[in-house]
Amino acid sequence: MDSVQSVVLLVEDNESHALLTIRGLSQQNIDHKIIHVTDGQAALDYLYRRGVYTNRRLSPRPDLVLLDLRLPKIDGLDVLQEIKNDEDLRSIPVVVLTSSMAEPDIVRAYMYHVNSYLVKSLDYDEFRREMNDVARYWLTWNINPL
Amino acid sequence: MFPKKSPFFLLWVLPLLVIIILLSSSFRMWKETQDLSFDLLRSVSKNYAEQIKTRLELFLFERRKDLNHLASLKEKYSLPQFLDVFKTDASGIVSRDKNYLAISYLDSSANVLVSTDFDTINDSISPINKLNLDSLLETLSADTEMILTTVNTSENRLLLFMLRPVFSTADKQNVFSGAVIASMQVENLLKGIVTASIHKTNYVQIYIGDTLLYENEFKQSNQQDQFSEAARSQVSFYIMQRKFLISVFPPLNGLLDKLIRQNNLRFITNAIASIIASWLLALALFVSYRLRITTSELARSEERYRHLAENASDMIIEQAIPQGTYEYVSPAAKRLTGYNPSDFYNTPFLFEKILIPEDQERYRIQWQNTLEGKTPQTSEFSIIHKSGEQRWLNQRNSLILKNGIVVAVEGILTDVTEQKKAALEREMLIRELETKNRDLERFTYIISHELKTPLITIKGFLGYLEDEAFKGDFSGLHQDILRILSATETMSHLLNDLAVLNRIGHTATEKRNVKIKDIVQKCIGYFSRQIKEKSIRVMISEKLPEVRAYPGELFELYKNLLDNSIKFTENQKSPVIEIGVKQVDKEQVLFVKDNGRGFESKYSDRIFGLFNKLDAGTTGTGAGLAMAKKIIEHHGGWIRAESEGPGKGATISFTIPQ
Repeated sequence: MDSVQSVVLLVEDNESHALLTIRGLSQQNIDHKIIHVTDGQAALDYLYRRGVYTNRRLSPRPDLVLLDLRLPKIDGLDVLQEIKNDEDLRSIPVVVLTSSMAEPDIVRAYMYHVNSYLVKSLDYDEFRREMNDVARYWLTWNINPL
Repeated sequence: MFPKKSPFFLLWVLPLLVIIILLSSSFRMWKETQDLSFDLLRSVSKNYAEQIKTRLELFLFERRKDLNHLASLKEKYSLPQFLDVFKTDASGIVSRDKNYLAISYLDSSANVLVSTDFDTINDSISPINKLNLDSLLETLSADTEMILTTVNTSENRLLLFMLRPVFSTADKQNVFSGAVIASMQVENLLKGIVTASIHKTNYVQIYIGDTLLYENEFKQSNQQDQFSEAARSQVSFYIMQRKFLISVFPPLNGLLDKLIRQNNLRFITNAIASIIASWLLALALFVSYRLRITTSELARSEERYRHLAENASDMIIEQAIPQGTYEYVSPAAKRLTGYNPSDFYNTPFLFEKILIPEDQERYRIQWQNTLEGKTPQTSEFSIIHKSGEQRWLNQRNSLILKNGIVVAVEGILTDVTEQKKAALEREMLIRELETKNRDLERFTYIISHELKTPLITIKGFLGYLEDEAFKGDFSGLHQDILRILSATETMSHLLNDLAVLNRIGHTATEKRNVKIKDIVQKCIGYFSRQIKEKSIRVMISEKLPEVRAYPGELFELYKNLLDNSIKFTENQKSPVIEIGVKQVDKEQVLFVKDNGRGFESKYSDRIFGLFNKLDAGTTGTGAGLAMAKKIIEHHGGWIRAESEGPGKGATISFTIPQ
């Protein structure tokens, strides 16, 4: 059986944050591929396989979407809403990963049926642990439909 | 004030007095008429009585003439001759005058010596003889005459005797030669006299002394007895030493009765009339009193109402239903609407004409409802005052009914423009406040988020540094430190932008006349190095105006816009930035145009969001356009971003109203 590589779509506009996240995820010995886009439009283009992402092989369907909220072009919550409204895309787990603790954001995210809402920890160690758990939970424990 | 007591006095005593006066005068009139009637009748009957008396006197006088003639014969002749002549003459008189029954000559003993018709009256003479002749002898003189009456019982006739002594001696002892008597049937005699004199319907009684000589017989009704005393006329007189009494009673079955009845009727009528008159008087007094009170009350209340209506600051309108014409418009109309009451009177539905267009339909509907009797109590309308200003009026309505039918509607209008304007302003301020509040909340959220982000980076990479140092791996050291530094730079920029942003709208300086061209030149100077390095062609229009603005903010504005344009034309072959002005619909629109990266038009609003960057890769905090927007808003203008698409450049247009 081929080892199924987990694909994570990381939607994060801040490059430093993206780096931290990628590093954090990578410390688990999980075979995964991280695709990083820097704005909401790109994220949707990727998921719908349009624009530059038309190649199926180069743009595999993600097993997890890590979504920051404040994004250029299209806002994170709008991206979330669109994903969860789409019959095909809604089964992809979307985990919001943001520095925002604002209640309205949280409420809205759950309204749009987010799978999980995470806040980036300020503390380095905690952030690393957080990312480890994310990887383990969503990429190992969690089962996705085929 | 109308005195309370006197009307009561007038109302009751006055009519009562009137009644008393009228009734008493009526009574007096009645009595007078009654008396007059009796007087009238009495005088009438007196006339009649006098008539009868005269006729009787005349008659008896004629008879006496005969008797005197016979008595005078004695002087002429001696006794034997006298007796024969007497007999002849006496017979002649009796036969000539049918009234005589007999004429006799008596001696001193009352023996009949000669008589014309002695036998029939003989018995009647004898009883009276002694009595009357004695008296006659006593008083005897040549002039003594007497009339006697006697009733002949066998024949039941009343006879009248007239005595006339023939002669007498001076010495009364010897005497008396004889008396001539004449006897007459009284009833027939007097009947003739009476009937010849008067109307038969009168009732007549003739007495000599106490003896009733004659009376007509006709039926009298009982009630006339009470009048008999009053109405009867009596005439008494003496003939031949005897008292005659004639009583005449007027026809009671006619004249007097009628007069009495008439009088009574008149009295009753007067009495009733006077009662009615006094009652009417009382009524009139009462009504006029009530009327006076009511009129004065009415006048007072009318005055009060007029004063109120004329001087009220509210405007009063009364419209007839269903015509809609204005029955009354108070002078306050001039103040509230600018139109005089006369304008309203001349123009039906003027009020509708001066309403603002949006309210006219509502007003028409309300009028329809009013016609059906369903007018609302309160309504509010907006009009255009004659001066051109818009005013708001609050109207309170009430329907005026007459006999249960709606005839008019009365409205009281108050100018509530101030309140309305205040209310509108308040609403606007509240909305503004709410918007500002929302903005503030968002702002706070954005700030905290923005600050948190670099902090995460810093802490994260510090952590990594620690790990790597611990492991002894220094390969990524430089990069990590750079990232940390970059993050701190970001924070610093952020805080700086915040400070600038905060200052917008709170400038201590005043607005000044600023030449935009000067500002732009200053900006160009500021960016001169980059412009030169990137070979950007900057076109500045000559028509850039002078505006009244905050110079510091205007500089900040152009700095941000230029900064953006320079940034986004980076990869262009021949970057061009145009700074100019154009006229769009009477507005002066300034713009900064570049031929750089452009953006998708659907993001034209998002682009102004604070810290919203359309592209994560670009430098800058993304506060530039937000700042520009705030500056323009502070000046009261608008700002817009347009682009035909990615790669087709962008134009930022804005206005600075003067």
